[in-house]
Amino acid sequence: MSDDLRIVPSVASGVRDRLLAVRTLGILHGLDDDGALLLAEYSKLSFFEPEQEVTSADADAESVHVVLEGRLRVPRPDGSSIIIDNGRGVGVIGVLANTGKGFQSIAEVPTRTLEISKEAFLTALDESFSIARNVLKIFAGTLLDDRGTLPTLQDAIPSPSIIEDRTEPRTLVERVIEVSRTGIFTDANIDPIFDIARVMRQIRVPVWHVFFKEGDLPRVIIRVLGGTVRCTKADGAAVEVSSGHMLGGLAALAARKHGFEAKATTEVVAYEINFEDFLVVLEAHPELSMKMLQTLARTLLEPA
Amino acid sequence: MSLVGLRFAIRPDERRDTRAAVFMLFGVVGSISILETARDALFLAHLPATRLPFTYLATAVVSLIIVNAQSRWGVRTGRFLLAVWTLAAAAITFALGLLVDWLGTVGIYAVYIWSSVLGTLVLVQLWTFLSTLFTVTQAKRLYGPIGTGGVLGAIAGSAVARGLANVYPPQRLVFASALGFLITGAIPFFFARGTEPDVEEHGKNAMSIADTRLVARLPYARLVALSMLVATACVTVGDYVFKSAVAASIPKAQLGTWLATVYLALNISSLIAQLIVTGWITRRFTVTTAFSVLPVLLLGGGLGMVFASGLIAALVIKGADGTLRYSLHKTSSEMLFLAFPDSARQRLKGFIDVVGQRGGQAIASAAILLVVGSGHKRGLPVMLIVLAAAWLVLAKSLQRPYLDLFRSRLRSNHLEHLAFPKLDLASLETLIRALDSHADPEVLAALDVLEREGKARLIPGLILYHPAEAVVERALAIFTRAHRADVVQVLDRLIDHPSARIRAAVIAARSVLDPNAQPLLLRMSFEESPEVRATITVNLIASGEIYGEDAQGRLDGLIRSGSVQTRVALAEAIGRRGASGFSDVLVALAAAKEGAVRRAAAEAMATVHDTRFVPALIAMLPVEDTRAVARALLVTYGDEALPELIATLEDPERKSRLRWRVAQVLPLFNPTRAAAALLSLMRREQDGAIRFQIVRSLEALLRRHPDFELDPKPLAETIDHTLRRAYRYLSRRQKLVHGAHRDPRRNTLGHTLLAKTLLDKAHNAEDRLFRVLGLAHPLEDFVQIYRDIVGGRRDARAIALEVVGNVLVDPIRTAVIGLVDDIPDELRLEAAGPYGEPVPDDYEELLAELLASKSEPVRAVAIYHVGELGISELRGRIDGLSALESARGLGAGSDVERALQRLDDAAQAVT
Repeated sequence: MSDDLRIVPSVASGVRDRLLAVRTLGILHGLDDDGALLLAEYSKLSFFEPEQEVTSADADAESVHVVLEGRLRVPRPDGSSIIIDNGRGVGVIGVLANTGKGFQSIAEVPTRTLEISKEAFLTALDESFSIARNVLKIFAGTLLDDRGTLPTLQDAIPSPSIIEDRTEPRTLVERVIEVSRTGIFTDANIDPIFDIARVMRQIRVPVWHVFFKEGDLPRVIIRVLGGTVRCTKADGAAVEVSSGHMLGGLAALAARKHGFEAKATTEVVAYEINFEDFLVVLEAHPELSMKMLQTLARTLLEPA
Repeated sequence: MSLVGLRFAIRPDERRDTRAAVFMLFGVVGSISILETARDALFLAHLPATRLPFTYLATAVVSLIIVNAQSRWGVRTGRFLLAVWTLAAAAITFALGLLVDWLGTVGIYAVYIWSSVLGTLVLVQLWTFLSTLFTVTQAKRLYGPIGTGGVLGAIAGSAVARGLANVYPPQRLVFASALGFLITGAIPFFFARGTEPDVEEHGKNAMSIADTRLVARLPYARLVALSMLVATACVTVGDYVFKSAVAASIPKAQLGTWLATVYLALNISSLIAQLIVTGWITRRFTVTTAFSVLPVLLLGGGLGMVFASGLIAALVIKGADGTLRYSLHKTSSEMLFLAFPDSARQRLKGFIDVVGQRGGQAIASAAILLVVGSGHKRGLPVMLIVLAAAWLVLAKSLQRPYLDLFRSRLRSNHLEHLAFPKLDLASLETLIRALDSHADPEVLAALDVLEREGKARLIPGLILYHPAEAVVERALAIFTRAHRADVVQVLDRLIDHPSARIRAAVIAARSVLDPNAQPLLLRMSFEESPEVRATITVNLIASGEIYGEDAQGRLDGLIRSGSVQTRVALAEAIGRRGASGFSDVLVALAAAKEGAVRRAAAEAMATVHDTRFVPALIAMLPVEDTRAVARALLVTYGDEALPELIATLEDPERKSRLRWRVAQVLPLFNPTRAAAALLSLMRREQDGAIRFQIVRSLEALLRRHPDFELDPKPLAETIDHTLRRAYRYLSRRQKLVHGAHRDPRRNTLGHTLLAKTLLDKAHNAEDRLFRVLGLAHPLEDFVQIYRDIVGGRRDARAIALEVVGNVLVDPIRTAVIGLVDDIPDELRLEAAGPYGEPVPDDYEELLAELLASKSEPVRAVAIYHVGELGISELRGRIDGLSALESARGLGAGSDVERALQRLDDAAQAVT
């Protein structure tokens, strides 16, 4: 049976069909019954003819389309296109980035999608950490695919390289002050900031210390406070990073193995955060996972 | 509300419209007041009181005609239209002043009817306009101050009338009233242009047909209309009783001055009621309670008339009416309309005002005529008592539909969960069709759902020829669990499958579905894959072909030195076989450092029931890749796993991450035992994150078991405790910020962080409070209510606050609303009531108190701030915290040391 014959517009599709569709989607893997039903009820199965526009660049993203059968094409400004096929979605980034801009996507062949309204999708993210976690995985994985596994494209060593004289570790409140000025924790509630600061362990390692090797499973996230770290891929590509850089975070979020080796080239002071502890903080504070999703979505929109 | 309170209650962005509304009401009511004094003096001086019912009837008819005409032109509101109506009122009143003497008796009737319908024309326009400007929450704050304008207008009007009545005949007062309307006609243009509401256009006769249908369809609208009708009938009878008594007792020559004096006195008492009673009652009690106050007093007046008729009793009735009608009664009546959605409010209000007020007036007039005609002396007081009682009953019956209307509007703001649909024929058809899908995830999902719904027998055996390994593996596992011996022949054809995983899975399935071990022994002799060999070993041990030390040695060897793949295969083989006797092996594999081995061990544990797995499964909860399977498996142990889970949750020595996860899974267990454990720990738990998760777990438990009732005592204690905590954080923050204003040297990084910590902690306490309120009131969605309150939508916030106000009772009600109301902290802290606690006056004393806080963040930042400021007087207290904080490892122990060091440095610098 050809693809074209297999696809039938599901005009009268009921909630059970949509429930089954929700269950098939990797993006929603691990979703509990309540979450699946919520999405099934507030979604619909949509059918698009070849060359029919699915989402428009002129309108803000109001829904998410996950491809069940068929294929979508997302034109890029440089003339190239991204192909979205089974199990992948369009609109997720737009809905989460909330930049007020939409994206055009066009059906390449007869295509069936599960269309989830923006409100239902955001509610599901808020109520079910399993969905948020899956989207985080996908976003982080996409970023790794798009930008490569190295933490930065070129050496990023401040000049002169800073290593603190202070030997004693930072206090809890000093860590809190630092965290509250960083990334998604800016303007965050004090509780998640303290929760993260509590699980941050300050380490001081000698030169040539290996934080992790390429292919290792990520268990900790490293935030460099002082000194330099050389990140090297198996193909020889390498960069050096220093204070302020986060190592292993994206791989841990994407649930992928480390894509490079991280080795200290000077004495290094850093924070080490157990990734499972980090996940507990995210799950306990849904507003933080939403902020992280929003940050990743906006990063994905930026030119590589 | 105090004058300071009044100032704070009106936000800067509301001031212009509120001011305009106050002046508008002042002008309109003042002008009407002058006209009414003239009207009553003219009427009672020239006509008998028994003619009054005819004027009531005529007023009702004229009002209906006017409103019907209004509806033909469309129910519109707006600044311009308000000005037009007011100026038209001025013109008509002036014309009547010119013609009243010339028209004689007809002129007196005309003045009477006109003064009565003016309310319909201008006041309804004004209140309808205001209801489009303000939400129900704003109305509760602002209608009181706005109503004050009306009462002041009435006082001013009656004072002017009294002054003029001493000099001029009543006819001249009509011109004064016209002048008042003329001046008031300019006020609508002082409303902010940006707040101009949309007008709602109606078709012809919309008022008479569509609106009647709308009222008939909505139970709450029917009740409001009936309440208004009875209330108007009641006050009309009261008015007649009063005027009859006046006509019988006061000489005609003194009527003008006497009435003006009485009305002035009533209006002053109305002002007092407006300033003191109205705001207090509407804030403290429900709207329907406020609506019940006047009928209670009229009921008392009616009883007084029955037992002691005369002018005094009539004055009591008029006193209650005159004091409360334009203050508390008017405010509460207007609030009843705010429950309607914006889209329907204008139409319903117009209709109910006319039908209720004029219909009530007409019915009361007819009844008065009947009673007067019958000659029963006490007939009218009895009628007053009956009507007041009916009013009270109706007010009481309004409460539930009023709240339901807000609840339904609240529900429209969020998505609701459905019940899981049962699998019917159509669903089965969908699932079977999905097995043919070219998308593997769809096939896998269909297989899972079919097994979950007990329909594994419907899965065709030929699916084992599916090209995707994942599908074949899943199908083999399902066939094994379902004991589908009919697929053995297909398995024999797959035994040489190129994939070692599939071969291992086939061997495992076959060994369960066919007890003959010979094919396994044969396969063992030439199989090269270590994974498949491990599978065969397990199955040979399970079938008794390998036993004793030989079996144990082989297994130990696999656990100790097997590769990750081999150990995974070992766990999977045990799982597929589902054989007992391998529990120790699985527990050992569950402790492996490789995630894949642990996961395989956890999945294998699902096939054998052994309580020795419980601790291993609990230990898997904090790790992402084994969490889902461990959780699902623990649930199958039910009450057998619960004691171990509860012990883990209650053990403060266990890792916080593990305890948090345990709290998260407890709702999946026996609700009575799980709820008891969670509630018992909710108050005692020191770790805020775990305490919060306990609340969320109780929410999850109620979602799973909607009929389950939580023990109200610990919930009430937690509500009480959380309210105190929220107010404690707010009051301390306010004092802290003031301290830095007084002495800018205190305004440091630590100060800013401490102020933020206290504010965030207060917000967290609010969030927790609403969640616990939701547990205590499971019929209300307090989580959504809180979302709406803190969300950006003005109307949603107003609805949410109204539901809170109607569901909770004082003192919790006032304290909860005060906590989230959009008011300055000074007023907020006043609302705390019994939940407020005294705050230390001195900055250092405040810091000393914060050093003793149970909250680690507050304590830690306070320590930091004391060290930063070098407050040596608090050194002893910080020193005292040293042991406690150091014991917490990564906690604030290091901050204690650093603060002590700073204090010592500061002391050394001084010496």
